Amino acid sequence: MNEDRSWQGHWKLRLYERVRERGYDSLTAFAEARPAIPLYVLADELGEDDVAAVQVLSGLLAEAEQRKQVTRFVRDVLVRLLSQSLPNGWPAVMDDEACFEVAKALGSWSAYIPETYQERADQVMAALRATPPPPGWRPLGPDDELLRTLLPDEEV
Amino acid sequence: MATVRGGQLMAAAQFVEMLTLLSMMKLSLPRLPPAAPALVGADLVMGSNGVMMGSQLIVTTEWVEMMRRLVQAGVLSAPAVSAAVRIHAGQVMMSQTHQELPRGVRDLLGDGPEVRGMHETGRTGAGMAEPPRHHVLPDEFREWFEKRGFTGAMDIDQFCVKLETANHQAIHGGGNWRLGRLWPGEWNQMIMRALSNAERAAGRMLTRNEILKLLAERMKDYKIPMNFTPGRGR
Repeated sequence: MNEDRSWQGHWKLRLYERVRERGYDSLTAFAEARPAIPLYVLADELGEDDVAAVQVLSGLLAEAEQRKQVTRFVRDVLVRLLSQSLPNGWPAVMDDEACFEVAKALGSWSAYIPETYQERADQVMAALRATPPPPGWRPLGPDDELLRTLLPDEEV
Repeated sequence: MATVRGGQLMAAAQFVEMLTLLSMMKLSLPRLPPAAPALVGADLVMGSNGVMMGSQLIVTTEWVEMMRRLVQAGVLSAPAVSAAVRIHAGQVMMSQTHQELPRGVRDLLGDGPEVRGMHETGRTGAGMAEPPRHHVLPDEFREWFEKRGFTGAMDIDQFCVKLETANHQAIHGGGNWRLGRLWPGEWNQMIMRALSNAERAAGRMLTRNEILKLLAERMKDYKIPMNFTPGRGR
């Protein structure tokens, strides 16, 4: 593996340069063309040894703040983390391993979204435990019907 | 003491002469033979101020000052010293703080792009010190991790990584790294939030291996190298 250079130089410029090189005018547009793809895969596509997933995450959030679509961003992050932990969708049997994979996705999600969303994230986690989605449920984007019920847009 | 000092001066003089000679032989020598200069370098260490590392010459202000005094005393000629240092121009690093070369040093080396390009660096910058080690499982939560099996040969000190300063600062949310306003992205805070919320989602404690699996995924997102090295960390 090459030495990683993600945090060297003007990484913000580098990030947007790569996005434009790939024909998109925003990071959001780049990410939307790759729905339910884990964040680290997006980062690797933009620069295998000089772009980190949290930089992509931070950039997507910045754009969502500008567009007043933070709740949509929060759903999008959950979709990407779920697909990373549960590539075959929601587990049919909640054994120890499946339970951990779900917990890993939800826990990481709550740490990757603004703290102001902690309460709503708690409610989503509680709802998913109380009424589990059907086995094989695999949201393909932030507009997934179940996700929109659990986390409806609030922004004006 | 005096004889030791004298020996060091001779070694230094020989070293400079040798480097000067090598500079003349440079056309026929594709690169400096790695073993010989390292040996000379060992002799050259005055205190711990000057060190040869491979073909990279690390000098200190004290070393250059000594060269200056040798020139004044007539033991060496200024062009010889200058040439000696210039051989390694571009590779020469001053070991100290990051700043312009002191006046006396610049006078001695003469003006030129390679001299202007030289600057002082810290021991880390000169490659003389290993980058510091850092806990990826935050030290403040040692007890939390102990309860989940991180004890003895598997305690959190075993999970340290070496990080350069810039990366370390960015990972702890420093250096104005983020783009959005609402998410600080600071590593320690993030990883503890992820772990404690994962436990709430699971409705039970995570096992040591589960913690490591979650950790590995998040480290990948921060591009923190997965090379664990034991240490007290920071």
